Amino acid sequence: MSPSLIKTLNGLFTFAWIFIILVSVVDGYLVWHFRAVIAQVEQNPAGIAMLAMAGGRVWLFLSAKSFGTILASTWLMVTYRKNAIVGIAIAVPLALFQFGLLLFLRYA
Amino acid sequence: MTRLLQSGTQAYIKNFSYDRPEHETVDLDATPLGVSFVSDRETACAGLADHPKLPPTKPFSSLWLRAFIESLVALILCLVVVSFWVLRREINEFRATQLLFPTYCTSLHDGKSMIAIVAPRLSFESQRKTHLVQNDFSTELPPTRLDFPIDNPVCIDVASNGENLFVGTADGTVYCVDLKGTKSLTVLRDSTIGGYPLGLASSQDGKTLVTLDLTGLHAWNVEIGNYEHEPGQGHQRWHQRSEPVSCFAIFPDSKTGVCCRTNQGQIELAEFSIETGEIKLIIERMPSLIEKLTISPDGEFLVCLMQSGEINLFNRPSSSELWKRCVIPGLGTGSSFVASFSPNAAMLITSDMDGSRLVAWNLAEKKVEHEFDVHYRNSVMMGCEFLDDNRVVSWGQDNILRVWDLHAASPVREVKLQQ
Repeated sequence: MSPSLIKTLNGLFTFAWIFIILVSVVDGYLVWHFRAVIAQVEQNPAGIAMLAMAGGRVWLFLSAKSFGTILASTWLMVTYRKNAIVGIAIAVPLALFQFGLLLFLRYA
Repeated sequence: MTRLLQSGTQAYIKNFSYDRPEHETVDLDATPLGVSFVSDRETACAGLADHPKLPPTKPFSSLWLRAFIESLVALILCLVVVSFWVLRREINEFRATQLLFPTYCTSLHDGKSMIAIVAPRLSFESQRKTHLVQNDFSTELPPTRLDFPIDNPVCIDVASNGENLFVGTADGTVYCVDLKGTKSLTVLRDSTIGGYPLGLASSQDGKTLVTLDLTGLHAWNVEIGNYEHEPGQGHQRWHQRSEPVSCFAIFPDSKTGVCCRTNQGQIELAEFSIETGEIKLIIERMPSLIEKLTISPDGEFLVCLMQSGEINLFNRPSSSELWKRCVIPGLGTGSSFVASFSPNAAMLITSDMDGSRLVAWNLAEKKVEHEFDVHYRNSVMMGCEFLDDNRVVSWGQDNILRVWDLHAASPVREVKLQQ
């Protein structure tokens, strides 16, 4: 691989990787911001279950969300370092999915 | 000196011995990450002998740890970025609360101008000083502040001839301002007489002003001239203090008014005399209090905006007949207490359930003529009034007066009030 292609791939992966984390943080902020009504409006079954387990409070849901984000981004980074092509093939669609999620959170 | 070198997916050991250079190679499963130095060939060979094929990277190796730390740092950085974004948003929202917003507007009956009471959105009562602005929609000029020495206006009305502006202030004083002539101020009621005025309305002939406060209805002579200060007297014609009144309106004949009063626990819609203040007729007993009463310019229609959100429409083709309920399918709810008749009395405009849409009803055909969004999301419409038969002015908490062309269902002018 040429150095310029490696630089491009690195940039693309870094952007996608940070964007995935950023959207996850924004999602977490919205959970905290709407904590009074989140139990009624949350659509993720796992989120609903965690809210129910915590008695309607958001701390468990937010903790799980943060931990999951760190775990997923760590795995993504390791995958990229082991095989850059596979890492990008996973990161870019995931970033696009996160972008869709962001639009859903903003406008839905 | 022995060195463990890596190239591509292969690793090899190179001995830097000058006399007998040699190397061994081994295939790796992953892309090499760097170069390691070892002190002697035996150590390197022993390492490679233990792992002739380097195994895939396992969790908790340095690669995983490094990625974990990087993810943690990235998450913290994203948290900082989002926190700044949230903080900036909160600051902007706080700044927005300090903007002015129109609490009440009234037309000058010239088809182009309105006077508005504007207030800062801060809720601290001590800072909530309102003032008056006038806007001419026929020009591009911004609204001008009316510099009358009137402190904290709370309700206004303009005489139908556009000559007099009546202003009630928070301390209970009611002023009459000569708009056309000398711009002089007349005190119709001073603050010693009553309390906070809840509403005021001028008769069509401009001779009488009726005000409402917690003590009941008052009528004031407008034509007496300059006020001679006699506490308790002033321009007062009568004071009807028998039963609590929630709202009132005056018919175009300038002789009769209509009010919602509570009489022995019953809520009544009643007609009263402008001359004497006496109740002339009980129109109907109502199930709940009325928030606002509006009468059409020809006096044939009466709209009651109930506190429960319902809208009741009454019709009387001539003054000799009794009021009858007029049913228009769909006209039944409204949350913004908005009701205004067009000057030709052909149309009635109300708000929808959310208070964000205006609905124009054709009174003759009893159907919706126009319907459109007037104010943006997160902004409550506070009122609307016809400027002429085709144009409506709406105002809301978004700090904007909007002029709408009913047929185009689009704003033709927007006027933002500045601090």
